[in-house]
Amino acid sequence: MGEDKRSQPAPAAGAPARSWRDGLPVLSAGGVTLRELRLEDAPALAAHLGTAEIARFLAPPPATVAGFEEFIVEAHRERIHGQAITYGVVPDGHDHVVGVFQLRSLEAGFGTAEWTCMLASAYWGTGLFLESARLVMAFAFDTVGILRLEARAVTMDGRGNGALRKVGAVQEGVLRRSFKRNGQRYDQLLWAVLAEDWRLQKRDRPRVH
Amino acid sequence: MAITVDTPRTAVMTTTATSTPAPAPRIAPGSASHWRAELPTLAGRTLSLRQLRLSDAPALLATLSVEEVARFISTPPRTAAGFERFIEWTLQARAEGRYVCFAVVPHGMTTPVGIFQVRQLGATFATAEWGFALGADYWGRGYFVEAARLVLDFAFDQVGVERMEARSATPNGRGNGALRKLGAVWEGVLRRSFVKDACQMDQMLWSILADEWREVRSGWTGAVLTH
Repeated sequence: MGEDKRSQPAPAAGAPARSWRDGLPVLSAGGVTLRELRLEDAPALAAHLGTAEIARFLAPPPATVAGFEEFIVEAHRERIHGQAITYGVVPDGHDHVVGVFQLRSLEAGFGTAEWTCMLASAYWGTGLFLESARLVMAFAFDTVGILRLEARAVTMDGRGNGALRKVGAVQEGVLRRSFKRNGQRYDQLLWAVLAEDWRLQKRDRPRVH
Repeated sequence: MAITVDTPRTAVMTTTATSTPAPAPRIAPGSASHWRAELPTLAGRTLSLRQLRLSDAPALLATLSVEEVARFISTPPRTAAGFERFIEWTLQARAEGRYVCFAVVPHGMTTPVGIFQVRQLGATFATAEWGFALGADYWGRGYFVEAARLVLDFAFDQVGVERMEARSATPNGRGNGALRKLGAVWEGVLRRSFVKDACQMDQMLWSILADEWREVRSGWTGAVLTH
C-alpha cells in the first residue's frame, strides 16, 4: 500500500482528443488497468460481485449474468448522456474484470459527483483498490473536471471507511439512517475529496499504510 | 434552498442509501393520495400551499429574482418566460412521481410569495431533499414555519419520505436558523458543495427523520411558532 508507483493515465498516443462521453480512455498504472465495461464482462462481474460479502454494505448488485448485462448497457447509456462513468478493473495478468468503479454526477454538469466501488473480495487488501482509486480520481479531477467527489459508506463498514480515509477523503458528517437493507436502517458516513485536496495530495503525497 | 430549474440532482447511484423500495405511502384517512395527478391544496391558518400554475410566473419572477432572495439559491430564471418553463418542468416532474413543488399563497392573496420543493434523492422518495424560497417582503411573519410544517406533514404522511435532507450555504444564517427551529439535525458541512457566480461555498447538511417529525409535531398546539 505504501508504494508510490502511480503513473499518469495512459495517454492515447497520437489519437485526436475525444470526449469521455464518446468512449472512456483506458487508464493504467502499476498493476492495474481500468477500461470501459463490455457486454462480455457480464459473467465475470456476476461471478465476482454477485456474492453476499460484496453486497453486505451496498444496495444489492445484479444477481445474474443477464442483470449485469443490463447494468453494462445502462452504464454505456449513462456515459453517452454524461450522467455517469463506469470503469471495469482488470488486474495485471488477468483478462477479466474483478471490480467496478462508478462516478455519478450529482448536479448537472458533473461539478459534484458521487463515487462507488465494488471489488471482488479476493482482491481486498492487495493494494488493487488504492491503485485503481488513484487512477479514477486523476481522471475525475483532471479530465472530467469534477470539483467535489462524495462517497457514502455505512458506519460499520470499517473496510470501506478505511479505504476512503486512505485515499485522502475527508469525513464531513454522519447521515442518520440513510441506508436501508432488509428493512433495517443504518447510518452512513459522508466523505468528500475536493479537486484542490487532490492536487495538494499529488504534490505532496503522504505515505499511508 | 436550491431552486432547480433544469436538471435536478440526478438519481443517486444504486449502491447508496435510497435504492430500496419505499414502503407504501401512508394515506391520511379520508384523503386519497393522488398527488402525482395533482397536488392537494394544504390549508394553514394564515396561508395555503397549492400547485403552481403557469400564470404564477410573473409573481415568482417579482418575488424570487431579487438579489436578497436569490443570494443563496441556484440562480433563478431571469424572465417570466423562464419561470413558465420552470413551472412546466415542475408539473412534469410531479407527474413522473419524483418531485413536488408547492406555491405559498397567503390568505387574501391569489399569487404566490414563495415556493417549497421536495425531490427524491434516489430511486424512491425514502430519502428526499427539500428547498424553499420566500419573497423578502414576507420574511419574519411566521409564514416559513407554517408552510414548512404543512410541507413536512405532506412529505412524511402522504409521499412516504423517511429521511428529509436540506442543504443551506453556511453564510445563510436565516436559512440555517429556520431549519434548526423546525427541529432539523445538523449532520455535517459539505465543503465547497455550492457554486454560485464562480464562488464556491460550503453548505450545512440538515436532516429530519419521519419518526422525529411525528414526535416534534405531537407537542405542537395550533399556534404557529414565530420566535
